[in-house]
Amino acid sequence: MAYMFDVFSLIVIVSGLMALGGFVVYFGLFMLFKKRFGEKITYHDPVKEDIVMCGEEPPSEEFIVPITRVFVDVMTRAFRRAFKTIMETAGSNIVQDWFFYMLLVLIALIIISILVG
Amino acid sequence: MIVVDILLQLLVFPGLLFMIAMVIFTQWYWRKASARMAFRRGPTRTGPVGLLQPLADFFKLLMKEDATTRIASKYIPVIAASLGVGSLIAVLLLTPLSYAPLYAPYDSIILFYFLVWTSLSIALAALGTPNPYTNIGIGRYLALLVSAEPVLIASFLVPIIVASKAFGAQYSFYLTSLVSINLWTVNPAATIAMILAFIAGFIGLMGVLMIKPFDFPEAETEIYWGIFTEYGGPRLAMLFFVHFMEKIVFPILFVLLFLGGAAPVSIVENYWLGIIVVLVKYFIVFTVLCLIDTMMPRYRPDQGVKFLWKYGLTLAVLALIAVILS
Repeated sequence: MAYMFDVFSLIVIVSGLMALGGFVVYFGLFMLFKKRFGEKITYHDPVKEDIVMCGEEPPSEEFIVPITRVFVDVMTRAFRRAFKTIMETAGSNIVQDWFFYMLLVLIALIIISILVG
Repeated sequence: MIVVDILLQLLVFPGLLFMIAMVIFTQWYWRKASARMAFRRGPTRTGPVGLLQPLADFFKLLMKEDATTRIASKYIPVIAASLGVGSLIAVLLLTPLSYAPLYAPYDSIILFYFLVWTSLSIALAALGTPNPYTNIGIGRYLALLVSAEPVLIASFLVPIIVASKAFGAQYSFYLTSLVSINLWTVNPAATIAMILAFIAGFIGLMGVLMIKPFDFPEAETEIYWGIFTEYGGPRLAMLFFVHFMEKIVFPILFVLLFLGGAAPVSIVENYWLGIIVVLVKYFIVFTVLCLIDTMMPRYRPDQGVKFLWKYGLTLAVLALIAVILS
């Protein structure tokens, strides 16, 4: 026995089920155990709230290492020649932009839609 | 009746309770198998042959104090992880593992969306706890996802397109998985496409699940578990829950699309025997993933990303072109 829907109804149903499942997990696992066990052994200590690396607290600007820069660095090293070519020919740092990656996805979608007809 | 069916499936089988049991068993199995390969014994003390050790670890983490740093978000990480679990159990309702599955024409798009969301929920949860190592881990994880998800989804699309063209599956995941055993022999072009997609899909699977050599976002000896660095106690339990559930749901989807699902049994006519066949095939894939993870060294992030684009995506795109032109 299977239930067939139209795709729009199914989106709503599955999204609702995802939220319901998440709700049950959040309250049934996390909050229940936190209230029943975790809060009884909680004690306040300012040191506990610090971010400590190798026994020392890092400067606050290091807390937020720019994630985009790490991402771009990985991609640049992976495609060294392609990035170099684009930088030299385009003369810009457009490759360091999410817009560029989304543009690639859009081009791929257009090619696929042309192939499918 | 439909509401009862859906709720039972969501919360009991193949939903939450079944997933908790599977996470415990697969983790025990993973630890035992990898230990045997390294001439160790693995878990032995809790329960028969250490079977209950992952359950004990899970409850130990859940019962600990919920400690966070002063600049960490208190709610976003846990809500993101909970929704990640929710989306994975909702996805299972679109598969033949459910006794009353839900489906629609083009429902594979919904399935892919929720699969991507689970991976993003881990990234979002990690973003809530700033730490230099965590942020390096997230940057690496996003680079991995941008490279591995297109490979996985493009290769998963191949059997769905073949089934829709040859058997009228209407781009539905459920209808595709019912005929997946026949997809390899539709015509020569489809066979070639399925072989290419199978290889690409397995590579994408390894990437998304962070199986070695693609585990550079957590790289415990280098960036101290990266995306999980700042986590402990119940928050770590929630994140592990999502991550371990991914290791169950994604390979099951791979089995349903590429390894014939419940074949030679018809899961519609003999539901429980079909479930057993799917689980046996799943454990074969899971064992292969475990062996690879235990044996392989780790790629540098740029090496891993390059491998996924150069080999994984190329194979997946070639498979897509072959199946579209067939």
